[in-house]
Amino acid sequence: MMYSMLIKLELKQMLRSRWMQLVGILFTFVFTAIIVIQQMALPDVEGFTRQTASFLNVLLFLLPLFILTIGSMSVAGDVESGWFSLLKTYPMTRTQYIAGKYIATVLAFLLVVVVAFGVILALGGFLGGVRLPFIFIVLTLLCIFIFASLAIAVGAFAKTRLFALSLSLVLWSVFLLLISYALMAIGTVVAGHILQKLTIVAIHINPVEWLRFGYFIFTDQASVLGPAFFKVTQFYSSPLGYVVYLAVTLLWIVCPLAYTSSLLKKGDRR
Amino acid sequence: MKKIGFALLFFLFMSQTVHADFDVQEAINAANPGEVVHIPAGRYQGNFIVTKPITLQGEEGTELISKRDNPALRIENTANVTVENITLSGKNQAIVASTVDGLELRKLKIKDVHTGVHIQHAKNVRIQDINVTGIEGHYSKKGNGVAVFKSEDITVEGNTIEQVQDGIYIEEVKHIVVQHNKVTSSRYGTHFMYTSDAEVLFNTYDQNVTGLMVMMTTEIFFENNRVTNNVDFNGYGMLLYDVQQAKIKHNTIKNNRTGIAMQKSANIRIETNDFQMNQTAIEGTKVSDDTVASSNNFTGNILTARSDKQGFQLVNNYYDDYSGIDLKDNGIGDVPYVAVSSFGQWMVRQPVYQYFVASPSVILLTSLDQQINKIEKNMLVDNTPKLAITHVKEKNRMNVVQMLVGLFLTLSSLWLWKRGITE
Repeated sequence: MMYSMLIKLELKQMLRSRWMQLVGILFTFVFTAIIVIQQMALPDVEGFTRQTASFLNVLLFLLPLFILTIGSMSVAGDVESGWFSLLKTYPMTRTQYIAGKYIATVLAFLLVVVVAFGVILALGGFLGGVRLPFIFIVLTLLCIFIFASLAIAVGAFAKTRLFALSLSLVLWSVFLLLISYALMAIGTVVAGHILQKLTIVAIHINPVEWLRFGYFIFTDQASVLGPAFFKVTQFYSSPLGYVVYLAVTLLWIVCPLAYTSSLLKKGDRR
Repeated sequence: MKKIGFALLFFLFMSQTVHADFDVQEAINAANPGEVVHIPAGRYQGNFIVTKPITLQGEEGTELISKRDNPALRIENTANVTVENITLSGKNQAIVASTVDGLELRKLKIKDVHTGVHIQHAKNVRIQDINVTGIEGHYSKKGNGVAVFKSEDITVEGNTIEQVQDGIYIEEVKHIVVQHNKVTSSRYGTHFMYTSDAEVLFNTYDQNVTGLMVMMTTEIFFENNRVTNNVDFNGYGMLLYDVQQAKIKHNTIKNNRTGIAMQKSANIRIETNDFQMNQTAIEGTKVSDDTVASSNNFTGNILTARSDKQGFQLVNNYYDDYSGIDLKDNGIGDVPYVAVSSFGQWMVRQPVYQYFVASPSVILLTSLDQQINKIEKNMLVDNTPKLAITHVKEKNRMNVVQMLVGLFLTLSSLWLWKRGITE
């Protein structure tokens, strides 16, 4: 009872937040504009093209940024304002608090993307020739599940809203840009086979790359990544590879939540 | 009843397999030069040989099946031979022709073979309207659809070839025309080696590893071909290696990993082609200064051009990602189009970088490049970018169901949002 009330309350607070409402409008506008303009302007072609690349990049640029900032500030705000300390006086466990936060964040962002997808479908249906590939819906869901978990961990670590915001931005730029740039820079001084191995490691330790890699695997377009990655893409295109992909994705969701739990436990002891 | 059924099936099978009264090799041996040998419908197993100027003419249902590993039909040391309207099948090669002056192969159907047609030391050959379907399996286990070696004056026209190693393989041939063919699901659509004076016109190459592979060839002309969906690992629309004097004109090069790649080549002219939705449209390494891409349309390609330090010329092309304006109103952009990008250059040097193609980091890097590289004057710069092309676009039709689903999703989620706030 207490648990469902917490989820409802958290969801309500998130949806009420002006920031969340602006994010909803911005995400819907940018996502719709890019997809509709690109699909109307370019020939309809199967495979990895500039329009699918734009689609994927908008998703990977915007959604993690919004989820990390809003999700982390929500948790850090609870700690900072004393709301979390108050909640501890109620008959509710730490796990329930974390799960409640996670579910509320996921639901709030699901609502944002459903609005955006709804507008794309409606406008696309009216104009004709605009589709919403199923794989993008799946990737969007995975993106929300993984980054909501990371956001909660960041919030628990930061403890203040401002620190949570700055830490989220740092983490976002590391995942989106800095790891890739670092790899590219390393590639100028090391042999190709070393860069290839480092890139494979980066795929597994960077959730953005993990989602991007998943797009190529599940759309059967692994060849886009080049012959150097033939073996790894061949493995992930097999049934065992799918299981491993699912397991790693689950780890990306579970590990940050477990880390959050240990952080809050430490805080309790203090 | 069952026995009668089996007997009927056996009779039907036998009536299709053997024509009791006809011996193909005997008929060939008995024919005088210039005569037509008509082969009635039926399945004939053997390794038939033609060594005189005759016409072999089949009819609907005429099939020659090779015995053991030898070719079904051999044509050698002769002139003016025509083979038409026959189905050929077998384990190894269907037709082998050597030292022939004047050969026409028409309306043939070749199936389940390692190699379809193998021609060597021949002159005045026309291969027309034949249909070759290779065996299942990896390309390394297959032969070619049509292969021509050390020959002159060849026409390969209107053929449909699928599931082979190389659809049309040409080696050491002087003057060849390859036109109106369709090659799909093979390693290379057409593969030229050590050939000179070749024309490749109105062909369709779809879903091969590489559409056109041209190596060590001089004087070759490609026009009105459609090269699409070659997106495999190491896939290219066209790959030109050590090619001299090539003209590539008015082709559609769409959805390939790399549209046209030139390596160690000289005097290549790429004109009025449509490059659409390729991952990289043109790539050049070690190409001569006189290599020019002009008056082409580049639409929806992830990377327009990439090269090593030598680069190649871009002149008066249309680029859909050009952001300049035309104050002079002459149809030419006022500022140059710079195709060079750091990432493109890295990818040429180190293929592993391909992993990052169109990734968020590369998109940002390329945007910054476009600002910084505005001062680039020489490499991969088009000083006269064309501004508009006339597009014939398909008219999109309204999808009412999709629209209603979208509206329902939008309105219901907005209602849920509002309810979540107020309750």
